[in-house]
Amino acid sequence: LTSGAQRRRLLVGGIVAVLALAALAGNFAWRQYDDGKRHALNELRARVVLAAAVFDTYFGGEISQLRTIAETPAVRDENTASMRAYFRRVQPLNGTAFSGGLGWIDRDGQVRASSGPTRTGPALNVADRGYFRTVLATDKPFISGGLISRHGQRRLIVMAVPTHDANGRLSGVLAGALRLQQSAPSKQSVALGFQGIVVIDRDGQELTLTSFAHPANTALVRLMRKHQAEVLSDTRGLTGAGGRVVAYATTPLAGWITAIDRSPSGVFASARRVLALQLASIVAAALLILGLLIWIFRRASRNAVAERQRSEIAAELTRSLADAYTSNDVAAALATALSKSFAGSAAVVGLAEGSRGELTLAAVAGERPSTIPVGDPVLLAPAAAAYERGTKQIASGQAAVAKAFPDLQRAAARGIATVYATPILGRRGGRLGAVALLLADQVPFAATDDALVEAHLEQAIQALGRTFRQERDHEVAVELQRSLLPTELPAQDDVAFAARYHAGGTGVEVGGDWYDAVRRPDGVLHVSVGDVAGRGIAAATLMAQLRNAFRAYVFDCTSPAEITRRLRRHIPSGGMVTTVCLTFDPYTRRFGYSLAGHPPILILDGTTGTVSAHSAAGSPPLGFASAESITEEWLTLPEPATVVAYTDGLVERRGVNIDAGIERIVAVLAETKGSHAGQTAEALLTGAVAEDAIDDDAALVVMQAAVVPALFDIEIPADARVMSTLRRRLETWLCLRGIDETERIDAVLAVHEACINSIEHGYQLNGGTVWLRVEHGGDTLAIAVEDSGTWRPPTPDPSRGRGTQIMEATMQATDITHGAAGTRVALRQRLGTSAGVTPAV
Amino acid sequence: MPEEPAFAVHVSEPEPGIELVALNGDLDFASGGEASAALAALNGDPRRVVVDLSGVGFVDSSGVKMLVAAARAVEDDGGTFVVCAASAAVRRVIDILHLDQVVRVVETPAEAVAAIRDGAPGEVKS
Repeated sequence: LTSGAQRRRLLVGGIVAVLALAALAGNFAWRQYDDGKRHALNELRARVVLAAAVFDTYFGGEISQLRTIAETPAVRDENTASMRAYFRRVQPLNGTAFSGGLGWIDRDGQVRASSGPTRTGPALNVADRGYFRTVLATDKPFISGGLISRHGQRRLIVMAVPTHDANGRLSGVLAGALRLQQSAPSKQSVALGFQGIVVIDRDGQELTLTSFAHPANTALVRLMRKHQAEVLSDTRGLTGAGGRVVAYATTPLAGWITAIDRSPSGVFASARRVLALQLASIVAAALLILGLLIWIFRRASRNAVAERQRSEIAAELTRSLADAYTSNDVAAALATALSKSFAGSAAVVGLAEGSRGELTLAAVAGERPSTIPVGDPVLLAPAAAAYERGTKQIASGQAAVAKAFPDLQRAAARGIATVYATPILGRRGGRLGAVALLLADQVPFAATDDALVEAHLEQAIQALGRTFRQERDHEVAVELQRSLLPTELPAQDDVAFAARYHAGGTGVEVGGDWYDAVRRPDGVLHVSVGDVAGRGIAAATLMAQLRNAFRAYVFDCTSPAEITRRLRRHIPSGGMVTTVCLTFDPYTRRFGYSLAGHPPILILDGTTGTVSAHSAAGSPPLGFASAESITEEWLTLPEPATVVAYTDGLVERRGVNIDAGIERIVAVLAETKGSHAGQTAEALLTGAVAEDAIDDDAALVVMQAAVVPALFDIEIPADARVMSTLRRRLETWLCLRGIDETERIDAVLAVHEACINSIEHGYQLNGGTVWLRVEHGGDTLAIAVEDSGTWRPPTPDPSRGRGTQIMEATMQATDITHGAAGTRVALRQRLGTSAGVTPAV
Repeated sequence: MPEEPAFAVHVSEPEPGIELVALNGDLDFASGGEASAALAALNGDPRRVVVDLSGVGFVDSSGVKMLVAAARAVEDDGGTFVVCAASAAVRRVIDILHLDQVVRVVETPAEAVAAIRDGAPGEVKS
C-alpha cells in the first residue's frame, strides 16, 4: 500500500465487490422467497385436498354405517319398535355418531322411528326435504347441505341411505343427522394449517357459518365448482376482498367445496420471515465487511500519512544537518525535526559549551508553551536534568511535571502535561547536550517513540561531531589569524586608527588578509592593507612575510609606490596578492596611495560629509603587475578627513557586482561624519554584514586625521641630507598653522641651523638622532632641538658661529645648553611682532 | 610628499668673459660642497663670475660661508664676483649675515652681468 491513489482504488474495488456479493445473495434470497411462496401455496393446496379427503372419508364411514343399519332385520322388516330400540342403542341421546339423531322415514316421508325422545302428536313428515326425495329418486346414499331442523331449529347435515324390504324393494330412507356446532377453531387445526377453512355445500351455503349464508363472491364459487382442486394467488376472496390467497378442493361424496381463504401475509409469513432474515443477514454482513474495509483503509491511510511524515521529517533533518555549519545549526535542525515528529510539542535542545561543559540553550522549535520567551533558561530545565543525570527524564501529568520542574510549570500558562528529556550521548559516551520535548497534553511515550527520538539523535550526533570539530578548528584558525595581525595601531598627532578583521565563514584555515599601520620616527604614517589569494599556512606565511617587509621598508622609503614595488619582490611565482599602501604626513596633510589589484580607498571629507573613492593610482595585483605599472597619487587631505582601506571581502558578494558593494559602504561611510574611528569601523563592518553574511575574510583600516597638530614632534637621523625634506615639511606645517611667511622663513632657518649644529658639531658628522619639537601655542612658537652627541665648538670662530648668529637673529630667545647627555637648543619666537634685530658681522 | 629635485649647477657664458653659474635647489650644508666644487672648477684669470640664486629657495649659514669663500677666492685672484638673489628666504639670510657687505648682491642676473661689464673689477665691491 504505497500510494494514496492505490489505496483508494483498492477501497473502491472492495466496496464494489461487497455490494455485488450482497446483490447476488439478495437475488438468491429472493428466489428462495419465491420458492417459499410456491411451497406455501402447494402446502395450502395439500391442506385443502387433505381436508376434503378427511370429509369424504368421514362421510364414507358414516354412509357405510347407515347402510349396515339399513340392512339390519329391524329396518328390513319395518318393525318400528325394534328399530327405535336399535337406533337408541346405536345413537344414544347426546351420542357422537349421529349427533343430530338417527331415524327411518317411510316412502311417504313419515318419520317412523327415531333415536330421539318419543314424541307426541302427529309423526314428522320430511317428504319435502331434498335428501329424502333424492334418495327415493336415485336409490343411492346422499348427503345433504346445511339444514335447519323443523323443531328445535338446529343446524344439521343429513346423511341418507335407501332401505329395502326383504324382497329388495325400496322401503324408505334411513337418515342420520350431524349437528353443526359453532366452535372456535382449535389450536390444533391452526397448527395443522387449517386456519381459515370454509366448507361450502351444493347450494353454496357456508356450513361453518351460523347463518348458512352464501359467500358474496359467487363468481369464485362458480369457478370452484368447475375444477376439482386449485390454488389461486392474489385473487378476490370469498368475501369479495382483493389480494387473497384461496385454495379449494371438492369432495365427490358430499359434493362440498372445501376452501381455505387467507391473506397472503398469513400464507407467506414464513417465507417472508425467512426472506427478511436473509436480507437482514446480508445487509448486516455487507455493512460489517464495508465497515471493516473502511476501517482498514483509514488505518492504512493514517499509517501511510504518518510514515510519509516521518520520512519527510527524517529527510529534512538529513538535509539541514548536511547544510549545518555550526553546532547551533545542528541544534536548530534537531529541534525542528523533534517538534514536527511529536505533534503539539515544543522541542528544546541544549548543548554543552565551554571547557566546563555547561549546558546552554541552543535551539527551541515547535509550539512553545505560551508566555515562555524563547531565550528563557527555564525552558532548559528538563534537558538540564537529563544532561546532569545522564538518563532519560519523563514526567507525565501536570502534577508530575510541577513536582519535577516547578519553575517550568509555573512559567507555562497553559500547563505542561508531558515532559520527555534525554541526554545526547556522543560516540564515546561523552555528554554533548540534551533534548527535551514539552507537551501541553498528556501523551504516553511508547517504545517506537523512543526509537524515533534515538534515530533523530543518532543523525544529530554525527553532525555535532563534525561541527564541534570545525568550530574548535575555526577558533584556532581565527586565533592564529589574529596573532598574525597587529594588536595596536599608532595613535597620536591627532590621527586615530581603528581596524577590524572579520574571519569569513566557518573555515578552518587561516586567511591571507592583513592590515598594518606604522608611525615613523619622523612622524610620517604608513598604512598597508592586503589580501593574499588562497587560505591556509602558505597564505598566512606570505601574509606575515609581507607585513614584516612593509614594516621594514617604510623606514627608508616614503613613496607608497616604491614600497609596493619592493613588496612585489616577495611574491612567489604563481602567487597573487592585492595591496594598498598609504603614506600620510599629519604635519603637511599630504597623502599618497598606491593600489595593486585592490578596491579603491575611500576618503570622507569631515566638513562636507562627502565621500570620494580613489583608484587612479592602481596596478594589477602583485604577481601580475610589472614594477613600472605600479604608480602613486598624492592628495592633500581635507581637515578633518577619514580614510578607509579594506580588502575586497568587505564589498564582494557572490552574484553581486563589486561596485554595488562599494556603493553600499560609501553610503555607510557618508553617515559616519562626526563618529570616531572605532565607531566608523564598526559601522562599516555591520553595514557590510547587514545585507548578507560576509563569507570571505575581510580586513579594514580606518584612519581619522582630525586637524593639523599643534605640536611638530619628530626625530630625524643626524644627516644633513634629510634637512631639505624637513624644511619643506616644517614650512608646510607652519603655513597650515596659519603663520605668516616672514615668521615661517625665520622659524625654518632657526630650526635648520640648530639641527645642522647638532649634526655637524654634536655628532661630528658621524650620525645619530636629532629630536625636534616645535610647539605652536597661542602666539608663541617654542622650538627644541636635542641631540645626544658630544659638543665640539666650531673653529675658527669659537664664540659665535654663523648658525648661532642666525638663530639669535631670527628668534627672540635662544638658549643653547651643552650637557653630558647632549646639546639642547631651546628657541622661542613671539609671533605677530617684527623680526629680531639684525646684528652686525 | 614627492621627493624634491636634487641640487643642480648650470654654468653658461652670457657674454664673453663672464661666467654665469646658476644654482638650483637649496644651498645648504648638504649641497654646499657640490656648489663650491662647481665654482672652484671655473676657468679664466682673472675671472668674472655671476652666481645666480634665482633657483635657490633656501640658503643656510654654510651656504653663505661657501659663497663668501668663493667670492674671496675669485677676488683674491683679481676677479669679480656678483650674487643675484630673489627669494625672500635667501634675502633674509643675506641680511642676517650681512653678505651684501662682503659680496656684491643684486636682484637679477641681467643686473649682475651689466654691473660686471660696466664696472671695473675693483669697483664692484661696495
